[in-house]
Amino acid sequence: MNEREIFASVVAILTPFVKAPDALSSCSAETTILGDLKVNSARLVDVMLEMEERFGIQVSDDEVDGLRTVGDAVQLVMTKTSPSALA
Amino acid sequence: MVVGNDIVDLALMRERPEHPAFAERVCSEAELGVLYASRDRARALWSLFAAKEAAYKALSKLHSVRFVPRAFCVDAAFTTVQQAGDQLTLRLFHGASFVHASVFDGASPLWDFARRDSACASDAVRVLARCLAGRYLHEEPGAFSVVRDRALGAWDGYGPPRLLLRGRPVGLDVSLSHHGRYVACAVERRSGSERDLLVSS
Repeated sequence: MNEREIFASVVAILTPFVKAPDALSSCSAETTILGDLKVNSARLVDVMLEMEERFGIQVSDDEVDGLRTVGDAVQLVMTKTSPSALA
Repeated sequence: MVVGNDIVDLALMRERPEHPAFAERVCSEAELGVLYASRDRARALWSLFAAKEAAYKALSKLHSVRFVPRAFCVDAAFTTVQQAGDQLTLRLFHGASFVHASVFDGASPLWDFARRDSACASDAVRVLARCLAGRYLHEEPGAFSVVRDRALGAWDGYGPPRLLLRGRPVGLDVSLSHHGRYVACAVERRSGSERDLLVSS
């Protein structure tokens, strides 16, 4: 998957948990997950678990805590699904 | 002295149940034992999570701490939350369709909750905070304001809320929470001294 496809998948995973639909419609890599999209911290755990399933990756607790933006989530997936990470 | 609080609207969580692996992700082994022995597993799970989040809110005012839910350990009796070297007292309140956690390191805080109806959650919880602070200090709620300072690296770019009385800092710690149909707030004096309450902290 390329970056654009991963971004679309991450947004699709986030969508059911978003409490600020207006922010979702203008979502970019800089959009903050908890602040702009108003996903709460419990639902962020659900998002990460769904990302693990969707992309076949493992995300550590520290990595979850470090996520601020949609772009952070996309980069995390790209890093963990890169050929070097999978080797 | 610090306080943290968190409210969970159980009806909202029932509308979209958590991921099947959620509990294993956020709970310790001991907490999972408590959870699986509970007759109301959903209420037990959200009680645990509310306690952890409330403790995070409190401890993050004292020092840098990451919100790794599994690292915030709630005892089997639901009376304390421990994280690394810190231990805080926990008080849970069970409403018919919500659970509220207060976590603190001094005297039991004053807390309250309200249905927010159609009001903006952020506005509704601030109204509640001003009323609660007014009850605590016997002042008019309108004399208080709630501010949050810019904080680089914070989850939304702002630090924890602070209470001002007529525009000046007041010696009360405050914690705000809103979820679904509910808003909740807890206040506790920052110092044990009555004299310090009205002195800038």
